[in-house]
Amino acid sequence: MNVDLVVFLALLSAGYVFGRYNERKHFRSIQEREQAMRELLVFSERLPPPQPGAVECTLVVGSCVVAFDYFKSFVAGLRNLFGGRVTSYETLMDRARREALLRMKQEAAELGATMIVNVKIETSSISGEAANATGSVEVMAYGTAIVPRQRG
Amino acid sequence: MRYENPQIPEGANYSQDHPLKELAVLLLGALAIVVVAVFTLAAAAGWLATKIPFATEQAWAAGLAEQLPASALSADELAAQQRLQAMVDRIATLQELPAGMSPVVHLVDGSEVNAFATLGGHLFVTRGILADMPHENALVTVLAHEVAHVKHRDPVVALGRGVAVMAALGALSGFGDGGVVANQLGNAGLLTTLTFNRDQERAADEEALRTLERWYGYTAGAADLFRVLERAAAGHEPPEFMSTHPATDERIARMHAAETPGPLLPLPAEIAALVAVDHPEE
Repeated sequence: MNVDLVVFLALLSAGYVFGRYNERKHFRSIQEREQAMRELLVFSERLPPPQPGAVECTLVVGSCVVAFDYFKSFVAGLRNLFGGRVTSYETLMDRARREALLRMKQEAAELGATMIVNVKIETSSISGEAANATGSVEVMAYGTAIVPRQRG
Repeated sequence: MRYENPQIPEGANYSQDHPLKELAVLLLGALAIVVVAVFTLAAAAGWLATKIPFATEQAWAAGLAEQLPASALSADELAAQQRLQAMVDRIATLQELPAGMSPVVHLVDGSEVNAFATLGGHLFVTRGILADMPHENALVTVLAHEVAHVKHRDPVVALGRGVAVMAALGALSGFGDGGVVANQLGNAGLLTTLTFNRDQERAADEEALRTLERWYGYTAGAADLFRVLERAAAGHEPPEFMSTHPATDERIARMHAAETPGPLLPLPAEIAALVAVDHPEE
């Protein structure tokens, strides 16, 4: 049996097993934290709704880098032949977006914010154009945290 | 205006399908593309191969005869080989082979029941198959079948297809960057492994029947050849001759239906003498 083939199958299975395990774990964690931080509202509106009392505005940022596993890259490569939804990357991007938002919210929560406005999400590939590089994507979420000014 | 963050249903932004299911669908699709591409390439290469001049094919096969221990043939075997060559020459005339296309027959010392045609019009006939020939008519059938392969350029077509398939698979898998193809061409001397497809075999069978008709004026005995092959295949050592050929039963039936009655002639003296050595009890 060909050595290349053995290596390929090993990478594919490892990618599948670990990738799937991590994905499930990550989704569970995301869902729990989203529930926990539901009270902190996020909006893409540029300006906050009229607030009673004085507030402070602070930039908050959350970012997350997720790497493709071999299995996902292979499936996506096959998908390039036929076109259509690259479902293997969809879960990855969903996780990265939500994780970035959560980290941004975490930062805002630590500042005592009640809401974040003007939220933007940016995505960039950090694998570069190198051929065969195992790619990663960074998703960054940033916005303006509205922190009610402490009295006294 | 009410400001709120409603809970977004889980999975709104990604597919819930099992990733292995997608992999399976994509792999099947890719496999279908590969299969179609390889078949198309093989068919195209087979067609192109027929454009190769026969002289070029002969040059490729030049080393073929030298690989055989020609000197090892006994006087009896040489006489039988000459007799076979004379029969092949007559068959070549009957089949109206183009000028320059002259099959050369080689007798191979071996008990396996086999006869095959390869590049450059070289035919190989084993002592084993001669020993099993019930009459001259069957021998003419097998020789005419092999000469027909040469006439139809089947060996070079098979080579073209083989090379195209190897090159395509090599290119697709990325393994062995063309080295496989070079090997295949380099081994041209050992191309006893060329396989013909069923259409080629059927065409050769039909040509053999026409040859019999011209030789004797009738085609009796043609089916006997395939009965011999069937019996040989039933033995513990199935000849590779059988593996790619149309199902023997079907061939027997087809040959039998096409046969016209006539006397079955004894084997030529030189071949009968050789066979008598192999079967001293008879």
